Amino acid sequence: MKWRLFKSRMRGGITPETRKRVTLRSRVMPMPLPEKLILPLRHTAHHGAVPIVAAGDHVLKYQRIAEADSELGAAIHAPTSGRISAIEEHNIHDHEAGPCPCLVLIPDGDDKSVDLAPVADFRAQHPQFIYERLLESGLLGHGSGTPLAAKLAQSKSTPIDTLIINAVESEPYVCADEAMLREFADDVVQGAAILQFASAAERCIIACQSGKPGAIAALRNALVGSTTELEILAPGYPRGEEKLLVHQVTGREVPSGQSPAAVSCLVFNAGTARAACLAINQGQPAISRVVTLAGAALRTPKNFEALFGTPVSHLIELCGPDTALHSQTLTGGPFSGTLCSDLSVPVSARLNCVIAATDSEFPAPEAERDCIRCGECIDACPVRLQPQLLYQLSRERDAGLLASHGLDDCIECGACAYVCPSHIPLTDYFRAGRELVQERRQQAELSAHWQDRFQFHQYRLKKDRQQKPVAVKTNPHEKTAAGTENTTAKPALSREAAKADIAAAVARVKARRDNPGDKS
Amino acid sequence: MTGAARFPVMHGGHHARTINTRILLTLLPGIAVSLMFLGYGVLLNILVANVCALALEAIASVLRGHKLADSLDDRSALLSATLLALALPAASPWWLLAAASVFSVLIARHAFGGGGQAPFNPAMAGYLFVLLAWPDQFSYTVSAANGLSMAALQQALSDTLGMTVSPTDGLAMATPLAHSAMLPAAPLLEAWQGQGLLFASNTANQWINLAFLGGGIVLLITRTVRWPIPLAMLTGMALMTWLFAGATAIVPQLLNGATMLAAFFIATDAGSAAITRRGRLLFGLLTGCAVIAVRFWGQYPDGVAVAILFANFCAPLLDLLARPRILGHAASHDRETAA
Repeated sequence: MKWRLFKSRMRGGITPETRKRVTLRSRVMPMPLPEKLILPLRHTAHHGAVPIVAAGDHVLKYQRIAEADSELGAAIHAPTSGRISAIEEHNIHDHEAGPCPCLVLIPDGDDKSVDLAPVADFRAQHPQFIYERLLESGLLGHGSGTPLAAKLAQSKSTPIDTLIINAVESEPYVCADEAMLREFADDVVQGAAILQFASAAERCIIACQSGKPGAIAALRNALVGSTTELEILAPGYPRGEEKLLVHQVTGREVPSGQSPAAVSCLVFNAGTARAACLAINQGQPAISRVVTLAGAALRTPKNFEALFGTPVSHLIELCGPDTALHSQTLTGGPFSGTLCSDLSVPVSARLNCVIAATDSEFPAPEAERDCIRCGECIDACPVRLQPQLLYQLSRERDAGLLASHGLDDCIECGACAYVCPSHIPLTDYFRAGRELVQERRQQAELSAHWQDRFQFHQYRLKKDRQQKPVAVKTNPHEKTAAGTENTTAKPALSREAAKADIAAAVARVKARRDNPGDKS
Repeated sequence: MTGAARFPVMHGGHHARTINTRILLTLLPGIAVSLMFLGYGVLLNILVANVCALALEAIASVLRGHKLADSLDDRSALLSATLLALALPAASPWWLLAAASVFSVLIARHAFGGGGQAPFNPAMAGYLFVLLAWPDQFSYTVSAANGLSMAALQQALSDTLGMTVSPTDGLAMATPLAHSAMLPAAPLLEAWQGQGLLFASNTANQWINLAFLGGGIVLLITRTVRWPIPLAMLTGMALMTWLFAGATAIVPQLLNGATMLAAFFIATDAGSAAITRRGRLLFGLLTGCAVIAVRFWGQYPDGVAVAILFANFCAPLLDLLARPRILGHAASHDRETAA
């Protein structure tokens, strides 16, 4: 086992108050069953699952109730036994697209389970078998919310040499992984080994952050005799961001717009690794995750082993909320989360944290002032963007320059807005800027499409004109030529040929424009 | 649901107001030492310049349709006025200060959009404006107003009110930016080379510079001002002096004129300086080299104002040349997209 202390390649970032200690006083608590579980049938904006049960069906714990709808979808399993009461629209926390169809499960309290088929020794199996098992278990990444199997499948097309398990959790308040690691480090290390086996990676590195003594000690214990390495990063946010993590751990920069697989790395969350371990070693499909319940409005903030589909309000109730003080609820951390107005949204694989905050905890933002060009944001940006410039360009709505100054590379970590002495909500500007760039790209695509069609149309008209028999005004010896042309079979107007012709014409026009001198 | 509606909901608590207040506070030791050596004129300068700045800010905010409270809130107007006051000769006539303030606040600052938009350091722009317009007011002779007696106060007051007809000769420095009054008019380079570490006529200036250096170090320690610009500027000055006047002249150069005031308080003005990491270093080096160049070969008493303005001109270019490589991009991202 190797580990290094405070190896830091990240520039920038911030060190906000972590505010985790209170929550970490208790261990990961089991959760009493809620009245109903809401299981979204959509995992990402376009992918999800198709139900295979109908309203009124009785289901058992771990029973599959929905199949993946595509490669990027994932199966859903019943978190407990009970009756499917309905399939209806419901609000969910992580995409803004609005309500999403959900399976509603009313638990019967028996928690009766189907028989599970654990794999005794995963190393005796074929990696493909393990991959398929993980695929069937419906595992979603705890960081990104995308199916674990889809990410793992990248290892088939690109060779992976480094597998990174992300236990950094640098965001304030969020301590679900830290609490989970203190108790289940063995599972995480096992899960890491399983993922390494399935992806055929040469190295496996667990990345953690200093300032988590309990988790680090547990990991070191669990890693005795293992080839998996432990990397401890310096404190600060946003060190856990996927691309930054790859850079810190391996020194490789993930090329702009690509995934870590482009530099032969795969990154999985620590929670995902544990879920993979349970799926293989116990045969348990994914039905729960650890969620942090924090915030000054809670008397006893703690971490829960929460079943997927549990309404957030149920978890808040279990922590003794002070309803008089509780003024706002966040799903996710203070930097990556969103304000949540509907407290019945369910726990999903992505939800790492719920913050029940008071007014004084997150005071209303100060009025936005003019940028004073102090450069604090430049120093804070971990991706080395120039936020002050992007802000200016976002205000000027200059999509072209926004794109060329790297807006696409912004990870929306919020570090720039955190340090801004003029209290400019930079991240909000960048989101608006992103929408603008997106819009302009779509417009450009559309216009290219229509231009293409128009040119093809013109070309066809021209060809038609050439091939038509020229009726009247022709002299006698051309008439025969026209006549023979008319008798030959009309050549097929292929788009490829048209494209080549058009390209040649465009090139001619360009050449003429570039050298206006020789207008011959 | 009330409270924070935008993300991130946590904020580091930095505020332009606290930054500027800290800078103003760290100016105090330098102001105190200047007061000791140059007399009440320093305070009168600061007083007049600040009053002018407040009045002009009020006018500017009416013209621009802003709330006065908002534009005064970050105290950058006060900081800029104080720097201008320290740059001008102590006990300058009120109209000189007023003229400098008008140019500084209305033209250099607000006409360009205020705050971070001003491409030139407002204090230095105002200073150079009156230097060009009324060079006779920069004779670097100080009246009997130095010292802290009652008579000195009366003298300084009458100077400020513009009632002194012919300033009496004095020996002390009038303003930190006017050190060369003590030196033979030309050629300056030879004069610098002959100077030892401590020479009597510049004692005042050395103490004033040391006081500003002390304040500057506090700024660096509290991270109110980042180190690249001040340190690069002092390095640039030291290098140039070493190259052209030898190592013995380095310390006198660094403790002369308005060096420390400029390095820590003026050149670091956020709006007009370079902003990228490497750009700041280049900006500081350039300013430092330009200061020495003007001092050695130029016509102006102190290179600082000209050098800073010169560097302000170069700042956008420096930022462009020194723009950081974005993580995950090959060498220079925008060159390749521009092509």
